[in-house]
Amino acid sequence: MQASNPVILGCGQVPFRRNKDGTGFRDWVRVACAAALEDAQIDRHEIDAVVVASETDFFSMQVSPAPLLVDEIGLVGVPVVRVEAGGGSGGAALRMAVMHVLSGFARRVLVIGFEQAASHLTGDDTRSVYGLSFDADLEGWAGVTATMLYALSLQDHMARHGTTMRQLAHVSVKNHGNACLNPLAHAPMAISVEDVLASAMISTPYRRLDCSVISDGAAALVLAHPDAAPTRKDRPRTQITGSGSSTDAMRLGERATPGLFVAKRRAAQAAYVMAGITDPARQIDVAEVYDSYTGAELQGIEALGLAPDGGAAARLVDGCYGLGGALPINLSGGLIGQGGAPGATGIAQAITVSRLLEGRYHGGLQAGRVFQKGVVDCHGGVATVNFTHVLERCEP
Amino acid sequence: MTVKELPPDLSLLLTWRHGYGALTPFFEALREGRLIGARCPVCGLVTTPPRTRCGSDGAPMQQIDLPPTGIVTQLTTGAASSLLGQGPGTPTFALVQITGSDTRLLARLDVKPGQAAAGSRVRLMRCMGPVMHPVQALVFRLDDQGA
Repeated sequence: MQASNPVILGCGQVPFRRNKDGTGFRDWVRVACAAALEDAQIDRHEIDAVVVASETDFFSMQVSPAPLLVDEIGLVGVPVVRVEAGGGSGGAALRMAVMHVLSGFARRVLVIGFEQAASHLTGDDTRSVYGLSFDADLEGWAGVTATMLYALSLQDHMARHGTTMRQLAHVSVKNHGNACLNPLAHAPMAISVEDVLASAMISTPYRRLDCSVISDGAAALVLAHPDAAPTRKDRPRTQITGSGSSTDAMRLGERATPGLFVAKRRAAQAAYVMAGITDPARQIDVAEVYDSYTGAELQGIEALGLAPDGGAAARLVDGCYGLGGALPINLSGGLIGQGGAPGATGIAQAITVSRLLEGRYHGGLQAGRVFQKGVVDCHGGVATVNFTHVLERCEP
Repeated sequence: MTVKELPPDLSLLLTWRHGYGALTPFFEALREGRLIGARCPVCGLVTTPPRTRCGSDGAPMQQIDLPPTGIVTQLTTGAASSLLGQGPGTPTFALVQITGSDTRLLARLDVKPGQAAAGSRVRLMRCMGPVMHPVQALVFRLDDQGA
């Protein structure tokens, strides 16, 4: 184990769903945190800082949720901060926790992400709230939706690289298929490329099965300084060896190349430098990439340096990113298959990769494979604010 | 009382008294069918909407008038609209390369599906009716007068 890199002690996640059982985010957070603490084999009183991620109080109908949740899980007295970065909120929380540990501010940090994105508001209301997550005055109030903005970005990628919707459909088939082996997933489906291409048009050229699923959910993990990690010999652990973040112009029209995720590239490069990664396409074994849309997954893979610009589609179709591929991407199902609960997403991604590195992910998805290094990637806006983390397996 | 007997729906209607700040001249011009941008006196970058400071060198930008015309570079037509937008039907939004600007502008197009494409020339429409938010006046139509 490396001397100072934060260690993931344990993690917990509730199923991502549209919950119709009368429960709410307080309940899901309680369950996720209890699971994370049990997995970490520490008592809750050993936590000395909490970081909470959620995208918007419009969804939860709870302003200032962080102290509420600290109270809810029995940690009154422990300092808490709430972070927000749209769909990247979970990644921002993870980065904040890394900062806590590296700075010495805290020894064991509980990182919580949640969102009540699916069951509180109607679809129309949710779409309107998401519109405000871009430039509200210049875009959101004009009536543009998230899908439209991603569609405009994608078309630039398609024009420059000849990417086709048939190629992109393979992302949906792969991620919904992976979700079939993930009991926490919102949208497990065995579908074909033809099913994707025949699904309802949402915003040209994106069809319904190109879009991720909006979910309720919560996830939590415990991050600690290696010196504050209880000794355990029963399984490998995961260390976070790299963290990067960067921002792009808020409005697509002010980006020189609207289909290129340049800020994600900068975030990844910063994380790779910190982790000593010089050739990510060869050194990274597994990744969770922010697939808010099928095209965004490919744009993200390229920005993360896991494929050359314009090269991800062919590798996807060849099976490189599938369950048995050389570089499995979104084994959880991603936002398309597992679901997207914005505040929880980045943390759920880290949980997925850490469990894969530790050899204890869902059996059909672990498939007996041993992974050494992984990447988790999420963003808010159209890759406007980005968070990349490198995770590495540590032997007991 | 069981959970199922509790009232399931809550509604909260809020009204914001909103200020538009440095965007006010842009929105006021839109209502008159004009388009304004800004030019950086240092590097010459022209943007619309106008920026107060240049994104490249940080210099204060100078407001300028721009032609209300442009060329569509990307567009999308949505079956599902946001409640925040104005007008019925299937909205089309585009990135428009405004004549004389170095940046593209996101705007609604007043076209039927399939009527516009990348490369179409468009012209800013004059806002005729009331809008809730002034950006809803940012609507282009096909430009039958050419460039």
